[in-house]
Formats: sequence, C-alpha cells, structure tokens
Amino acid sequence: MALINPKKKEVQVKIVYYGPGRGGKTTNLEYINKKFKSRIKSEMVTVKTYNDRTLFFDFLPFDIGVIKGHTIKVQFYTVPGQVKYNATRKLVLRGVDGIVFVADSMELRREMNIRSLQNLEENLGSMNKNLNKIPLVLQYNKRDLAKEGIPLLSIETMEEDLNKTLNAPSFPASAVVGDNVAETMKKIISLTVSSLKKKLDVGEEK
Amino acid sequence: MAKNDEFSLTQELDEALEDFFSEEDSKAMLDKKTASAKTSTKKNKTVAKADDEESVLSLDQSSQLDVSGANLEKIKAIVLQLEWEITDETMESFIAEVEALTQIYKGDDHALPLLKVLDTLSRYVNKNKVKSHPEAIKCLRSVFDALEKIFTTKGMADKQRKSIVDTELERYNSLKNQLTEKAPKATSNIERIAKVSGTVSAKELKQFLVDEIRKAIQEEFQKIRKELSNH
Ligand SMILES: Nc1nc2c(ncn2[C@@H]2O[C@H](COP(=O)(O)OP(=O)(O)O)[C@@H](O)[C@H]2O)c(=O)[nH]1
Ligand SMILES: [Mg+2]
Repeated sequence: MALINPKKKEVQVKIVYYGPGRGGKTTNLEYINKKFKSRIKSEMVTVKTYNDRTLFFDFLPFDIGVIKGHTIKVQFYTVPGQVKYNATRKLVLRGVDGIVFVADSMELRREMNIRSLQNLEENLGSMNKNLNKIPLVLQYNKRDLAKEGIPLLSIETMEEDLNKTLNAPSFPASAVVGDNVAETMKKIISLTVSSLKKKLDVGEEK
Repeated sequence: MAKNDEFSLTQELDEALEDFFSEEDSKAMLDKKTASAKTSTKKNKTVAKADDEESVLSLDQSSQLDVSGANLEKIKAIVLQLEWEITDETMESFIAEVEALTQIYKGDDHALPLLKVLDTLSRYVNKNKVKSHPEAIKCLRSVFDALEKIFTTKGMADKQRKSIVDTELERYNSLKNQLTEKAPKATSNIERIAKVSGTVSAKELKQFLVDEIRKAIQEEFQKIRKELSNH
C-alpha cells in the first residue's frame, strides 16, 4: 500500500525485513544506518526489550532521491522473530510493499528458516496477499561463519528449501561484515519501486 | 512509448540507487566541494584586495561584487552541505558569511531584507539542527538562490528585484506562521512512526504496544511465580 501524494510529488514505500529470530534483520538495518549515516537524515528507531532482542520492531525511514519527479521515501521495518510475537509481525506487515526474507545460514537453523517463511505466507494470506505477488528478495545471512568452522547450509540447500517455488532474487550475505547488505537493499528497493510504476504514472497525470 | 517510460524509470531508479549506495563517503564528497569553494574564494579575495588598495573610498559595484562573490560562494557551499548534515561548524560559518554580506550591502534595499531572513533562518537551523522544520531548509535555500540571482544578474530592473524579494518574504512569512502556529509537540517515537508510516494510527500502535508489554510482563511474572514455588 504505497502512499502516493501527487501534490507533494512523493511516493512512500514500506519494506519489511522478515525472518527467524536472531537471523540478522536488525543487523542489516544497523549496518545501512551506520554506513550511509550522512545520507540518512532520519533516526533509526528500535523498540526492544532488556536483553537486546527485538521485541517489537526496528524502523528506519529515508529518502533515496527523486525519480520521475517524485521523491521516493522508503521505510524499513524488521519484525520480531520469536514465535509468540505473531501479532506484532502481522501489524508490521500491514501495507507492506516489498519484503526481504533474511534466512540464517547456520545448519541448525534450517527448520526455523522454513517455519518462518511459512509463517510469512500465512500472515500474508490472512491479509489476502500472496507472497508470489509481492516484490521479494531472499538473503542467506551469516556466510562469514564458515571461516569460524561453524557448519553452514549450502546455498543450494537454502535455495531448495526456501526459493524453489518463489524464484526470487537471492544473496549470500554477512550482515556483520556488510557483505551484500547494500546489494540486498538496493535490489528490494528497485523491485518495489518498479512494481509501483503504474501508480507513479497515474500520479503523474494529475 | 510505454517502453520508453519504463526504460527511463529503470534508469532513473538505478542512478538514484547507485548514488545513494555509492561507496564514496558523502563526507568526502562534501570536503571536496568545500575545498573547491575555498580555492575560488581565495582567488576572489586577492582580486578584491587589489581593488581595495586602488580605491578604498569608492567601493564601486564591480568590486563590491568581487568581495561578495567570495562570500556568496562560501554560503553556496554551505547551503549544499546542509543537504547532508547540519553541524555547529557549518552553521557558524554560514552566519559569519551572512554577517559579512550584511556589512557590504548595508544600503541595499533589496539585498538587506533577504540577508536578514537568511540570518534568522540560519540561527533557527543552527539551534534546531536536524529537528528543524524541513521547510526552513528549503526556504533558506530558496532565499539564497534569490539573493544570488539579484547579485549576479547584470542590469536587473528594480521592479524585477522587488518582485523576487517579495516572493521570498512571502515564503518566509508563511513558514514563520507555520512554525508559531503549531510548534511541533514533543512526539513520542511511536507517534512518529505512526505518523511517518501512515499505515497504522498512533493510538492504535500505542494501545497495541501497551497490550503486548502487559502480556509480556504477565508471562514473565507467571514464570517467576512458578520458579519461586518450585523452590
Ligand atoms: N557472524 C555473524 N553474526 C551475525 C550476522 N548477522 C547478525 N549476526 C548476529 O546475530 C545476532 C542476531 O542478530 P539480529 O540482527 O539481532 O537478528 P534479528 O533477530 O533477525 O534482528 C546478533 O548477535 C548479531 O551480531 C552475520 O552476518 N554474521
Ligand atoms: Mg531484530
């Protein structure tokens, strides 16, 4: 539900980072916020609990520039991973325009990734939305752990588990190091804004 | 034609994304900008000095422009910089440059009101930094552009100057009204999120969070009780 304001010539898009708890969603946004600090004029807001796990969500809004005469404002959200916070996840998903699914590459997180993706599909379903029809990018995070000798899922396995039917663009990444973090974000913005093209054109005629 | 449209959208989008996520730190870019502004400033200064020595008493239009040209360029660099960041340092030099120009244009009916507006706005921005009303920065830039136009357009008719000045003053006054009418209340994070996101109302979000926190605390208490009764 992108908000398009033809008068102010603004387009606002909402992108949600989804995925299992501890997968690295917050770290993705933190990395971007730090690296491009001077270009991001707003603050990142994190609503969290005492033990530093995302209880509710993170929120990072910024403008990426002017396209076809419209200022493009993007808002990034993350969701809490813990099973019990599904109500929060649903709330954050409201009006979503694009999704990044951050999967954890650690072997022992295989089931959690699959369950979290299912949960995403269910939650979207309850809003009459279909994951196949929403701009989506998959990120296979924590690839850096291979160096530490921690067993990781192979990219092929992750593609097979998560992306077989979706066929979405995917990136191996490391949110702590910053590998492919900006690339992931660029891709989702690009897909999401392109998918809004029709609406942009309507806006322009006014 | 639709094809073309699509092409240009993709291209514009790619360029915007390239720009935003480019590796070159924007601070470095700015330093470069300021550096180039500085060198040209230096050049202008020497010219102005030569003029000063030749005719200290008759500061004619052209030498006036040489001196102010330097200040203008400095201000311009700072105005550009404001797009990225607002620091004490940039704002203080902005204010200083505006003061210098005010000295030079003491008798100029058109420049003076604009300089005064610039001075007020820059003090406001200096005080509020990133929390400044977004219109304030826009207004500051617009007033600066007008000033530059007045200074650099040769042989501009008085009438035209006046109309430029009036437009800017109008803009400034409406901003002033906006700022005084509804001085932004201190809004909570939640309200800000709701306001920016537009998909959830602040009240809704707040209530939701209160409920969630209450639930979390209740669950935690239950666990603690259980823990205690086990011992
Ligand atoms: N080694 C490694 N650790 C990561 C990576 N991304 C996140 N982490 C760590 O994983 C933990 C959970 O990350 P966080 O961003 O809070 O996960 P979220 O629950 O999905 O928001 C933190 O301790 C991070 O430092 C990564 O790419 N590599
Ligand atoms: Mg998190």
